[in-house]
Amino acid sequence: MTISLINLAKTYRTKDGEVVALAPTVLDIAPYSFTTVVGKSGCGKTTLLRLLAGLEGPTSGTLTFLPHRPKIGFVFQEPRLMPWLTVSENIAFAALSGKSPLSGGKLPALLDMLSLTAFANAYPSQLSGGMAQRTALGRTLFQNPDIILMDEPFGSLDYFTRKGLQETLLRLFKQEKKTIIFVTHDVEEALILGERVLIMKKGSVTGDVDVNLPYPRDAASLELLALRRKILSGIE
Amino acid sequence: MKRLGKNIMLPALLLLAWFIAARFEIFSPYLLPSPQKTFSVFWALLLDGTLARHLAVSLLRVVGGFLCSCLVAMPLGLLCGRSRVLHDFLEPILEFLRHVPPLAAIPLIILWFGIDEASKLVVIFLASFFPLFLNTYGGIRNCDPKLLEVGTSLHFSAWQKARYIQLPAAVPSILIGLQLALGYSWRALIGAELIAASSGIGYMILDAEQMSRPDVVLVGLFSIGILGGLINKVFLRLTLHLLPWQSKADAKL
Repeated sequence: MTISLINLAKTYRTKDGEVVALAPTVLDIAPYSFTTVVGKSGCGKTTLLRLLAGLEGPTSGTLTFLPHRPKIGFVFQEPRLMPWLTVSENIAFAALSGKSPLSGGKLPALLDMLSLTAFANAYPSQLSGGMAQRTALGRTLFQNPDIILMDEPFGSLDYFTRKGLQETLLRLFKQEKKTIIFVTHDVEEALILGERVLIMKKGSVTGDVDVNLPYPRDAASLELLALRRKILSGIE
Repeated sequence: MKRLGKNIMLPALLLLAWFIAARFEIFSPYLLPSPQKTFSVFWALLLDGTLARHLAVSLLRVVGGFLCSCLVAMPLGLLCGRSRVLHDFLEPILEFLRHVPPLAAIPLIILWFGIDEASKLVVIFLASFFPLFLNTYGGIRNCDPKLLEVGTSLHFSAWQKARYIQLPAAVPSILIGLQLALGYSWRALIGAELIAASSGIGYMILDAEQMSRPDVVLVGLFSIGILGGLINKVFLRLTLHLLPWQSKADAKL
């Protein structure tokens, strides 16, 4: 499932004039790849992701998926769980659209994979931040998407919870054939997770770094530190 | 237990003040009968079925008018919440009607609907319509757009977003509307019964006033207050049942 952006751009009109959120961008993303996108706040990372998800329309340019339009799942920055539904009901929420059937073992398997079985009947107000974000990830995975778009999903979590969720995500990436595009402002996270790191600055993709290192990666390794310096200099 | 103590402290003090005022005849017994006298009249009215009959009539009127209001106000609130065009179309007339107290319209209502049950139902309907409509409308309109975006990301249709996101999100607001509307219904009903009725708790109070029986008036007032409080308690129980996610919010894992 190749994603192709041809001069894809997004401009917002404000009372002070036009603001370019994404300058015309040309980009190809390979199928079954893990791409991370890094950059400062307001550099257009989230706009890029929202355009890919179809949550917003582009001002100009085209976005194509080959060979056909895939099923896309989106994990938001905040869990955005339905407060009136339990964990398992939130995960199976996509079934209500009628496009993602609730088959026998699908829900228990997801609860188990995300270590949420014991909290299946808990409400979002009873969950910790990590559990809530795992539930949100489960809701996206329930659709069995071909492409998973993630918008700084672990940004507000503590170090240990974030590490645990990164491991879960990498396990998922290795086990199931998914294309993942992961937006983060944390360069270390981008390098730990991504096979390819896109650097964004002022609405443009200004850098493209391949990370040819085996998983799991050590953030303190010399290779990663060198790549970190390279990316940071690209962001500054 | 501690909370119960706090809850009954003020009523107990007021009862004591009433008792002292009556005992030392600070006010004339024709104006303020003693608590003992009022209770004995209450007991007598309860035993001979008069109180229950009037209360039942009033309760039936409230339930009838309130249900009619629910059937119109809630769907209309939902539709207006979903459709800006419909809301803009109806807003001027609704805004006008909202500021007309139902009691002010009673002469016209009696003229149009007569002095039978229909006029009371209309008064209750009008009194409970706006809290229900506005809370349903507000609940739908104020649904968190981030939750609606989740629906978009899960490829929900507009109908599915309304059914599975906006409506459940509006339930707490709708329940507050129901609670307010129920209270407004009682107030409007008593007003309607005071003006034109031959039964009901409002009629009982008016009749007692004309017979110079302040004890019966007090029994009527206490009955309305106690029954209203009981209905509210039942309603709160229902609310807890319908919103388990809110009642469990304190019990963090």
